[in-house]
Amino acid sequence: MGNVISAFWKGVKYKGGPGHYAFILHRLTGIGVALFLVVHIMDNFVILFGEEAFTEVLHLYANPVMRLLEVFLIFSVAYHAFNGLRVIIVDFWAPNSHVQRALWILVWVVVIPITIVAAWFTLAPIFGLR
Amino acid sequence: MNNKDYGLSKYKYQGGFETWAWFFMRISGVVLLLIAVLHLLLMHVYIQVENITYDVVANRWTGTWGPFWKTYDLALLIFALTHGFNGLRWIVDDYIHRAGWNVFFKALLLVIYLVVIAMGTYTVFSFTG
Ligand code: HEM
Ligand code: HEM
Repeated sequence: MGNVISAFWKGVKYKGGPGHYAFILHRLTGIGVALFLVVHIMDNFVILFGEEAFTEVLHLYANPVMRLLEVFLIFSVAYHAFNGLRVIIVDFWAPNSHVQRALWILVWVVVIPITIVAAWFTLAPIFGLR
Repeated sequence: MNNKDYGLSKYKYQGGFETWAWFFMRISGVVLLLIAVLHLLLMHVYIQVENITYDVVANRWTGTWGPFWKTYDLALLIFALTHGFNGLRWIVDDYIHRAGWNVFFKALLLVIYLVVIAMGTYTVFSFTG
């Protein structure tokens, strides 16, 4: 386990420029979303035990801390999705470095508004807004 | 930014299963960009999470559009899980080099993948309301 952690840190400290940080974040968000997905299939499974049991599960998600994690999840999916698209475009079309730079900025131009809108819809009810 | 410095381009050139897996990650990525992002927009912006109840889900799965949403959820299940777990398998290969542990973690991933895909499929098919 120690080896794995030190290998990971070596990866984080490696100075590979923005492409490298893009990759680290892509990896972390991919792991996070995959873990959520396993939990999510299990919480959906509870619907087979009837309305009462499923309602109880939905109540767990209504907790403000869970709602905050949900916004974090949406950010993770959005970043992973649009950075993934950027990776695919670069892999198949290998554009010049100006275009690559523009694509990297474009990822954030899309991801930040999505996160803000999702945060509003998810968190506003907690504060009695909307 | 040189595309050989990040990404997993090495798999592209290996041939056989790994090349196939590399392409699958790109194709499923594009599919997920549509269906996973739409799933989130639907749940958070259209339905809105505080309105999700047993009845809402029951109506989606058994109403007029039931077969459509069941197919949609099944596609999301299979694409997201297969894409995600192939990604986790790559990560195990990147960090865990001791042969025994490498096989152990990949076997563990395979077992979790099969159990979860069975649970999700069973949920979609056996739910009657
Ligand atoms: C929403 C659209 C998505 C797109 C466009 C996308 C795209 C990609 C691409 C292109 C890769 C390969 C990266 C590379 O070769 O460097 C990748 C890796 C990965 N994806 Fe996705 N993906 C999406 C959704 C998901 C979802 C829903 C999950 C989780 C269930 C996930 C989990 C992962 C993981 C764990 C990896 C491995 C990361 C790594 O090796 O560093 N992805 N994704
Ligand atoms: C916190 C955000 C999310 C909420 C509130 C949510 C909500 C739901 C609900 C209510 C269902 C029940 C079926 C339906 O009404 O269509 C469902 C099913 C499903 N969701 Fe999500 N979802 C979220 C995030 C995600 C993400 C990020 C993924 C993919 C990585 C995902 C994948 C699935 C799958 C595969 C199913 C079908 C489950 C099954 O086969 O039993 N969901 N989701």
